Amino acid sequence: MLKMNEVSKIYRTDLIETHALSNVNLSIDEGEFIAVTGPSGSGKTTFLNIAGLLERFERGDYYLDGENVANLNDKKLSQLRNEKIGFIFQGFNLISDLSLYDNVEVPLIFRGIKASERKKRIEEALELVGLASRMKHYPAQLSGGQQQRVAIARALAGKPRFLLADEPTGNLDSLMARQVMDLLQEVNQAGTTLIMVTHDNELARRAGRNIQILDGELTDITKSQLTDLAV
Amino acid sequence: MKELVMLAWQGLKQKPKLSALMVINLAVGITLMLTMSAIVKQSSSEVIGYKGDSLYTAGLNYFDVDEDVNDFRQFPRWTYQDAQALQQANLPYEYVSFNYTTEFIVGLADNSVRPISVEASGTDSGMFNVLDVPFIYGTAWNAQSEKSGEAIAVISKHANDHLFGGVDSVGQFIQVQGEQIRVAGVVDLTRYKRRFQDLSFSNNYNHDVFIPLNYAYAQNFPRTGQVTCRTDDLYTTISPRSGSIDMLKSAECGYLTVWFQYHNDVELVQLAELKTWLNNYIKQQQALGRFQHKNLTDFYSMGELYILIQRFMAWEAIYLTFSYLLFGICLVNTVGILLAKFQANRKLISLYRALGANQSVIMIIHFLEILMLTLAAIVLGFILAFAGLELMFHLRMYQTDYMAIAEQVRQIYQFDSELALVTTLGIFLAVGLSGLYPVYRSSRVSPASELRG
Repeated sequence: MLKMNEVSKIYRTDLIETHALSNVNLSIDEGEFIAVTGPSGSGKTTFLNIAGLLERFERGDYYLDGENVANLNDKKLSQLRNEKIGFIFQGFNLISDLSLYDNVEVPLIFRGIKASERKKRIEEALELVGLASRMKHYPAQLSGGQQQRVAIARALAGKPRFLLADEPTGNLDSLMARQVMDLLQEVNQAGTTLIMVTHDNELARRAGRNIQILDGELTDITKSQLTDLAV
Repeated sequence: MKELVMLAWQGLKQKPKLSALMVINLAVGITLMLTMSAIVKQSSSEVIGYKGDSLYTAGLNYFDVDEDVNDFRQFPRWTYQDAQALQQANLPYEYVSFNYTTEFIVGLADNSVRPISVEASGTDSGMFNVLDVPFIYGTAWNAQSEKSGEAIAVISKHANDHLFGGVDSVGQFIQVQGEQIRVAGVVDLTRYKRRFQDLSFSNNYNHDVFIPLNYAYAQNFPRTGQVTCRTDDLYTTISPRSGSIDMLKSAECGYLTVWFQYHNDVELVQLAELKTWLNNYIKQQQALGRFQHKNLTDFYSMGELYILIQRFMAWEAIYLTFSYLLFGICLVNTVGILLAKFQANRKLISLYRALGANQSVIMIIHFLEILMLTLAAIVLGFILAFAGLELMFHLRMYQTDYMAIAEQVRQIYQFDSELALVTTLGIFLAVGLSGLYPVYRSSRVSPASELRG
């Protein structure tokens, strides 16, 4: 359902040409939990941005649910992003002036879902992450772990096929990180494909499949290889 | 759309200081533009526009050849002799009316109210047809009163309010220079933004008392409007403002303003007759040594006079141009502020993009944000423009030592709702166009770089 063939991404300045991703070939099946590891600057986030349709790529083909996204216009890409992909960021990226309810509502507004249906989905999503009772609260009134759960609820409210998480526990202490990971695993077990970029080998070991990116090149690795290569 | 408005509101709250700066910046520009536009529009609007093509004034230039006479403001007023000749010609018109401006102190015989100094018209009953104002009380004096020079007057609402507390004063007496003058009627002239009948076009006040010319002559009320003599020596000898009226009547000194009113259907034919008479009269007088100047006649319709007046409003035009320029600068500032604001909102824009907003949606959200800011600026600008017009009104009253009639001055410094509507639409259009580039830039934000960390 997610397939990349020879995908390359090059960043160019006047003097330098940087190959962020080189001829990436990847196929991800529905319901997989994939951890993407690699040293800083290796291209992990670029991979995630391209997978999430936030960045375009120079060469290759990328099929999302069978549709080649290489030449789609902005409107179609945005629609795919909204309907099929949920993002979870390290810094949560909640809107501080909006209540939890309103934060979760934002992607549903962009999809043009009716208010009654939005309400149902928001309540379900916040229920799932255990924050239904606090839907009128604001992000600043929550702990870091709770904020990340709201971000997960926001990502899930649109019922995406893919969850893309970029260091989802990077700003959390170990207890909260564990709770968030437990939640993400629950979501994955419920059928949502989870692609997670992380530096944390312990978290990466929870994934069903591990991918290593080094100098823009992507390889599948076994869990035993994580310790040696990830940092 | 309601939801997008909510998101625009969020964007607006992201950088409140920049939002406030944009509102204040625009409001200042709107205030100046609206204030000056309102003043210029009211100042230049025609006093009696519906008579623009039926009311005429004329002048005969008896000045020496070396005297500069370039426009109606410098043209000599009619002499008594020339006015008599015109009246005796029995030309066809709906009305003809002569007047001169005078001043005196008016009070009541029992001294029950403080006497006031007023400007007045020595005129004929035809003037009330020319002025075309409804009488609040009473009527104009009749031909018999006019001919006999009866001590009778029509007073203004302003004078009636002061002297008689605003009640019907017809039949009551006012006292001028110890003489009792019966009130025949009361008129309200404050509906005219400018006093046109004596060609002064002052917008401070109108005449408070109208008396028959013959009575004015009999009392020798001073001539305080424009008074000119053919030569300076003659002026010194005659002393036309306050000297003997009999000497003035026979001298080549002018003090009378004339108005002709025509029916539209016969206007052209009758105007031609008047012009022919004027030319013939000039030729006849030239044989007697008068009328040697190159500009011999002055002839304007009311509409033409107003076009001329607008040309003389040079300072107002400069202020108006200045206010437009300042608004232009405010628009340029707005572009800068919007660029800074949207730049500061990159993270929020990126988040919206990641959550599925396409570039068009981002542009709509930002246009809505601009719309809200502009609306706030317009509301603030209108409030400040109200205050500005009020301030200008009080400055004007102060400038005239509060001698001006407030109701009349107020007409120049009043908020114009039609202008406000046009201005509002213009501002939305101008700010919308100014916002195009910042909005376009904001929709091109690359989301990937802003969402890390």
